[in-house]
Amino acid sequence: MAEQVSDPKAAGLRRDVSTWGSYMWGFADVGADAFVGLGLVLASAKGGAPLAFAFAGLVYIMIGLAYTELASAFPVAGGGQYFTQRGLGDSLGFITGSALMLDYTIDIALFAAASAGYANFFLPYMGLSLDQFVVPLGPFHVNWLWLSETLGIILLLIWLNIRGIRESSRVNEWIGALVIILECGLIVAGFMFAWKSDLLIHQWKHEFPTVNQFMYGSSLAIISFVGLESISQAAQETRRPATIVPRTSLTLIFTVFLFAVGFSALATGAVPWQEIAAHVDNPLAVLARAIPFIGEAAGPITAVMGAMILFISANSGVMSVSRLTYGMSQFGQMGEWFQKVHPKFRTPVRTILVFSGIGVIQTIAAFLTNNAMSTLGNMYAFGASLGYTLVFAALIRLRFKEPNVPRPYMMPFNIQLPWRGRRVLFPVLGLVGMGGVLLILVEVVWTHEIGRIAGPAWVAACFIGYILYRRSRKRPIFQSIPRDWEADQMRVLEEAEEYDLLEQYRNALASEKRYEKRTPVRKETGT
Amino acid sequence: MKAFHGIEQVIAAIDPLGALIALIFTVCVVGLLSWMLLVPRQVAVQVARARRAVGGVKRILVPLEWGVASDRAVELACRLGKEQHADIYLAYIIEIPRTRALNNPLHEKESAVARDTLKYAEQIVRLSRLRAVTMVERSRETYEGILRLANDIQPDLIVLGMPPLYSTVRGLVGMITLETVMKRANCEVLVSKMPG
Repeated sequence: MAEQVSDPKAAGLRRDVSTWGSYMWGFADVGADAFVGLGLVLASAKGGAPLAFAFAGLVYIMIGLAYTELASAFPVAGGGQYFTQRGLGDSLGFITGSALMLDYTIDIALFAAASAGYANFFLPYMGLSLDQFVVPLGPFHVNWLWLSETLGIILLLIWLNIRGIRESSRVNEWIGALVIILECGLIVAGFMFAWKSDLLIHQWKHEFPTVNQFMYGSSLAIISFVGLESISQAAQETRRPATIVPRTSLTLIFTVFLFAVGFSALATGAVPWQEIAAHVDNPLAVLARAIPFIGEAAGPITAVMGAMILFISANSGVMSVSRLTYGMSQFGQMGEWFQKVHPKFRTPVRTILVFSGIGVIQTIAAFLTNNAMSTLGNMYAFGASLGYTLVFAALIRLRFKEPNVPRPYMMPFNIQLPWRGRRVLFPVLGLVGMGGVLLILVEVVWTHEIGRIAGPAWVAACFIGYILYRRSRKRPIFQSIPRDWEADQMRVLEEAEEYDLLEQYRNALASEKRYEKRTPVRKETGT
Repeated sequence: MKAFHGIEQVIAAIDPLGALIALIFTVCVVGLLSWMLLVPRQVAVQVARARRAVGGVKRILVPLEWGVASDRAVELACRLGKEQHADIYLAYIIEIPRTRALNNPLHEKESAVARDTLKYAEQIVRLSRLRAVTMVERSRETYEGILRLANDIQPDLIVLGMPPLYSTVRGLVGMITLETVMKRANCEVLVSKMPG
């Protein structure tokens, strides 16, 4: 008899995220990476930066396609954690969840601090310098203004997210639209007035990186694709998710790819890479300043753009971690205490407060140390690559385990295989993607000294908590709690008003059950 | 005058290749965002139920006997089953007179007709890239053979192609077959009657 751990319907989330809102949840995370990643990648991949971005983009596209298939087929809160739990079982689902939890909490701290940093670009206009706000605190030196701004941003985001996803989604939609227009304007003006093909060719020929430099640069470019997860995290609150999510997800994959390759090609054709590498904190401002006619105004505009996109990126972090842990709690992987939904706003208030609180702790820790950002970045890469590897494995497993689930989008390049009397489509691209992400995971563990200790330590600590919780509830630790996934899928589709897919699923299940009862069909008879 | 000079300067500064890349970039971004925002309309429950009920048809049985009418029934079955990759079961029904034993070898002419009918029907199915399963069924009455096959195969749908039924003896037999199959088959039956 299947056990229902909880009644998700009773604590249901509101479906308020529109098409544009769904796209913006993803763009908020991924779009912000150009403001941080461009300088880092150019500093290591030099004249080969466009190739590094294109190479990283290929792996990113495969991850994106896998998420598109899974998020549209299973539109529930939890994202990668839910897919892994459904495909590979409770314990592996929890490991994926803890890896993604690590990423999202760091996301909050990192992007809120970066957003405040871009806002501080305007201090000199007021006759102030950021350095004058540094105060000694025991053995540490803390910039209290920057820290206060960062904490203020996180508190504002907590309030917005408790108020309701509609309000915070609306913030994303407006700011995101403005940022896209401004980014497009920068790329178009840059290519028209500042880009010189001679400089690009010169840097490509004479400043091409070594293999090690190129690999390091491309791995840095790869760590910036955590934002894709946000669309699937918001799927349970998206209107008609099975219809909208494939569209928003595919659009996100290719627009972000265009922006990443566009900015890197523009940078290598407009300014020497050393100039960008010297300003890794603000690479886009340097690039914008090099554009004739608009260069003078481009610095402040880019700073405003940076502050805005990084703000909504931190917002995505709050949203994603709260939905992820809410989903884990619903599926018996964390305490029921986290399932509490605000009576008025219908938002998961406790998960928002607790896990944004962890983001606050990480922020304070980052400001107390000199290299905290580097530590956070290391762990960020570890969490993403571990989580994505398991998600790819779940994608493959689910094709065999639940072939009847309607998939409004399916990864291309499939081989039809017979499997226990059914015809199953094996995702070749999913296998290639899993190999690619697994290589990155090995690279991260191999090369990142802090990440290979702190990352696994986080996952191990979370898993100990999982064991203790499951023991206290007398539930299996390495085995899964039996669940009626078919009924769950029908409930989700019905709630999402995806009637077409619901009927498709019902018919597929009915046909299969009918065929199972049938006597074997007589073999072809000749004349 | 100064403004005019400024515009000239701006135009002169444009790199043609860069402008082309900028144009391609803009078209790609605008195209992608437009495609994303044009979401298909929501389907009502009743509409979805009707649409997917047909989509659930995975096995279609087509009894073959009546020449053109049967071939057209095969094509109709293929059209109905194409979207969901249904399997098409093509059964040539031979009525064996009660004066002959059912398991006696068929006459050469009967075998040839059955073989040819199934061959052409299979070609029709293959044109639609669907899987065809062919068989010959002997029975005393056509409807008996169809019902026996329906019981064995458990199809979701039987497609019967009927010739014009004007007052011929064959038309009368066809009517009996049709009525009996419609009454006793445990699945959906679709009749395609050729115009007179």
